[in-house]
Amino acid sequence: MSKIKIQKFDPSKDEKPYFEEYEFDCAEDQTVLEMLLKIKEEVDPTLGFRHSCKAGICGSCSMKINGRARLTCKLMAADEIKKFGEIVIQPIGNLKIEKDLIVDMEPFYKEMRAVKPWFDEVTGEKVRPEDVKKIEKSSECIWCAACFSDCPSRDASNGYLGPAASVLAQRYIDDVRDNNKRERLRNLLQRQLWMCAHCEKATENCPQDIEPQEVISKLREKSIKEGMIYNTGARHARTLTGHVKKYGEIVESRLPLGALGPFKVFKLMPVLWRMIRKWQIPPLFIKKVKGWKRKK
Amino acid sequence: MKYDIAIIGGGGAGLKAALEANKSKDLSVCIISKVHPLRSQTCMAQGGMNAAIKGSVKSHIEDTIKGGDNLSNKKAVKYFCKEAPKAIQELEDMGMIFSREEDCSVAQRAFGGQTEVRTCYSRDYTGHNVITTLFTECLKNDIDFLNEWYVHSLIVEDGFVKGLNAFDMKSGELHQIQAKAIILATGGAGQIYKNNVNASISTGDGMALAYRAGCALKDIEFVQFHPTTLHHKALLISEGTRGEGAFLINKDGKRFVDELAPRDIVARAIETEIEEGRGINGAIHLDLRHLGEDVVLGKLAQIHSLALEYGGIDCLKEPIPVKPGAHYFMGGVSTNHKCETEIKGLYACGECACAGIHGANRLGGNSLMETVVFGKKAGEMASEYAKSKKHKEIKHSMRVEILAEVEKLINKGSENQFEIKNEMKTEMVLASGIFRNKGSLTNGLSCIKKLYKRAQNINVGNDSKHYNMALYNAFELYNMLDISKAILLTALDRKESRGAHFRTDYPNKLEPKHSKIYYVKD
Amino acid sequence: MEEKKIKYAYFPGCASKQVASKYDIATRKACEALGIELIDVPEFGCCGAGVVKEADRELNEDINERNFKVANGVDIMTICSTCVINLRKDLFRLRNEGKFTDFNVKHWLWVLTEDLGMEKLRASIKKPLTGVKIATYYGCHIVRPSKFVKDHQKSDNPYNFEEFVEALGAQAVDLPTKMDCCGFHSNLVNPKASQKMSEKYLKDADEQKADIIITNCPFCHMQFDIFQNKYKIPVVHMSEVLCMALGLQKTAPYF
Repeated sequence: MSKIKIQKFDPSKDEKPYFEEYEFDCAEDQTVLEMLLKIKEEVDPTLGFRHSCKAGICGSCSMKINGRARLTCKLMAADEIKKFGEIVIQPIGNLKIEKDLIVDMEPFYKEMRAVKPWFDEVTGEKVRPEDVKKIEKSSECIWCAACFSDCPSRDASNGYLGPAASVLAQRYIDDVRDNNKRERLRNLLQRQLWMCAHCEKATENCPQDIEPQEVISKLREKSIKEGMIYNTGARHARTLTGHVKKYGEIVESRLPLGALGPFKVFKLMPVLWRMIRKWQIPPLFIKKVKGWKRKK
Repeated sequence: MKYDIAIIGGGGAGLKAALEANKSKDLSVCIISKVHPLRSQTCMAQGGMNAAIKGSVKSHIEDTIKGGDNLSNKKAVKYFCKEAPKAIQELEDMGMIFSREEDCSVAQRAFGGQTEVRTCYSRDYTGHNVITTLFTECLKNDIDFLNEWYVHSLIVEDGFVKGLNAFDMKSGELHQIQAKAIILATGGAGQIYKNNVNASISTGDGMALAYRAGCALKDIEFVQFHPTTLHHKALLISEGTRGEGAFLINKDGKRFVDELAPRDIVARAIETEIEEGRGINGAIHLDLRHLGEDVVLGKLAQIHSLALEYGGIDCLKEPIPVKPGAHYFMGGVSTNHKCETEIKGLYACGECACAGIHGANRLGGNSLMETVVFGKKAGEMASEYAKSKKHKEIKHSMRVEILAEVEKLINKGSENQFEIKNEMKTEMVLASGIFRNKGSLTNGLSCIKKLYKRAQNINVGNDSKHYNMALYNAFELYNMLDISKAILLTALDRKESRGAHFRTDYPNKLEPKHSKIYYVKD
Repeated sequence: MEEKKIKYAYFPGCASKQVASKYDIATRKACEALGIELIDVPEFGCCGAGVVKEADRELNEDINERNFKVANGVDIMTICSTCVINLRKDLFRLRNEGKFTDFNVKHWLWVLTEDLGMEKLRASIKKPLTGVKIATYYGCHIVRPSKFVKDHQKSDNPYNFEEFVEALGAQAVDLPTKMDCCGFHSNLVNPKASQKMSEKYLKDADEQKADIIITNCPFCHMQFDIFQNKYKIPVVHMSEVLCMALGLQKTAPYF
């Protein structure tokens, strides 16, 4: 018998969410969703959670299992018990809880809609097999929100569109038929594309192995190529790369100035003070790395 | 609440119907779905959709009629096959991602029962790409969605459809929605069977709604069992594998059937091998090893990962154990080739409808195409109808009766609905699976009738107002029991074997062929 | 039989050479005391930090191949988690192309737990840190994406950092937020949001009354130590704590 803790909440009865504990015998090849369905049918019919295909393609059943958002129909219960000794099931994060494990997905859908996932203007170009390869992976996104759930940048800033919306945007930006690339990239920058902190939680959670962090990096690269360089993120990336090209290394002391510009950099005065106080001052000048050939 | 056109169901058919209806800018359209549209059954389709974009429409028509074992409605099939190439173009214009040939044309693969290569595909994510494309197009057109609303009943008076009653699942509030025209696009009822490859939402809701409102169900006894579903997990392994050249092998390592024969033939062959002891642990092997990495990881990527994740099998190194599972309903709400039912203003399209194109057995690739072709037609017909009509006043609101029913389910009764459901599912496989006979069907019927009685005494065990899933599960169970009864009665009555309906006591075909229409007046 | 000497090409990374020089110094001292040979390779350049690929992808693809070449067949050890993930991402990419197939890049923590072993470490401790509550902060890059680190590091419920702390005689404070992002990489883009991200762990550590927070990445250290002032809990590089336990330094400057 294994311990299963499920977070419950009925807005008409409960003040705040609480954990309900169940003792359950997990079969060897049982998924967490199958286990939940069994608990609902045999033990607790009040349990509320979303499910549809049970085959990892519809995206309904994402929940936080032992602290990490996953698709429960693709997760073996026995594996989780082996790793953690128990299974703790909570609704996905960054979204308001409606009932038990059901959340209000509207803010997530809003971000997906905001990247305009349709064609407004078309190029008239024909699609070749290699063109399909560019957008194949990101088109596998099933809108499950497992990435959005754990994204710390989204948690810290509501203005950040999140990994899934970035992936959806890439599916259209790299589509040869779409004629709105610049507009789309501009939109992404407005939705704080540079907020992604490379934490790789989205890459870890994605049931389709899409690697949102790589997609976001490539979108940022595209935006720089399109000349959208007058924002802090782009300035930071270009300054850093400029250092590496010249010296083979980053010059940390000069990075904030290059990224923020001469006025905003004054905001970092407290940081500089703490650096001095704690004897952690980076040198202003560094030598070129040995054997480094300066790149253009 | 008032809408000119209300569409029940947000899958491929419902979304396409909405897009078509929305073209008339002066009509208000909404889609009512018990789940978010992207979670509909359509997303699970893998292999492809048939269209004679390069070949001959005539050949498509002939193959469909032959595959349907001569039960199809020829007019409907002709319309369907003629419109299919247009549907592909429409999807392309919306931005659908298809796999491509070197000359940039839409790639097509071989599929069972077809004499030409005409199944357009998008690797093995065709259904996912179709529904995502249609849904985002609906977002572009700002179509109204009532998501996670459960439709309890249709309001039909004087032979006209006037509206519907639906629960907003989030708040538990019951709403009456007035509508001039209603389109049913609710999908099939695969959940009736224990081993099925359908989503949990596939409970025959629309079929039961129409049937209780007085519509006929046609060809309901024809249930397609997909030949290859992952053993122990009931997950669909697409026909695309066989289209790309996979073999079916028994325990002696021998092939025993033409892998590209129509599905009913292959399913029966597999079931026979297993029953006669030539299976491997209750399954047959689907061998993809000789196809090579390029094909498996390229064109069949989803299947490779499904087999690995759910079955622990790398299909590049080992064969996949498969056996048949309930998959598709050829039958459904009886319509003509224009999606019209017997009730004025009520239309049906997609799997929940039976326009008669599939006959006794559906060809793979025809149902995904069916959703877009007939979704469009239903939208077109409903628009024409709604333009010429005014809203009709609803004489009798069913509010009191429905709320009383809810009260009974929550506060009275003692039966566990899930026990009843599981007994029904087990019985239906024994009674009306791939091989049927008088004994099994009669037993099944008496069992279902008993379950029906018990189901009048259900207590859902959940009194929450918000997202009371157990309550809506009970309504789904009633729908499934209705459809189960219909299948058993019509299967008993059809004393022949044709297409997917095989009677071991009547293994031959009757002439002339006849299509059974089942009315609620039973 | 003579035991094989632990030898690595030492890759401190840009941060450890500049702002976090104390981390570098402490590591060198500790390795000397533990008998781990560190080979200095002055040709080592930036790992890309996950940022160069956004401004110049081609450059990013070249710099790590160069880093691996100049290591001359000696496996790399780095003390920075940002370096370890970026080096390993490129290592895996190059391995797919058939290059550097028996070359490896490891984090300092993995060298201690795998190559040296906790038994040996415990035996070398001169001044066990008994009674000190150390909150173990993993951060992101040493545990994610798991496909690049799973040979050496568990990503779900890891415990090697705690084992290291316990081997030093201290008490590990294992918090559920230990793998949350510190927010460093967006602290110039959106300082307020970046602060919010680091506060999650800091608040936890503060509530659990940890004495110090230990980090394995100089960027996490910077983020917790000098980029915020709300929580005053001392943040110490793992090498400095190790040196304290080995009796090589009395205390860290900010104790």
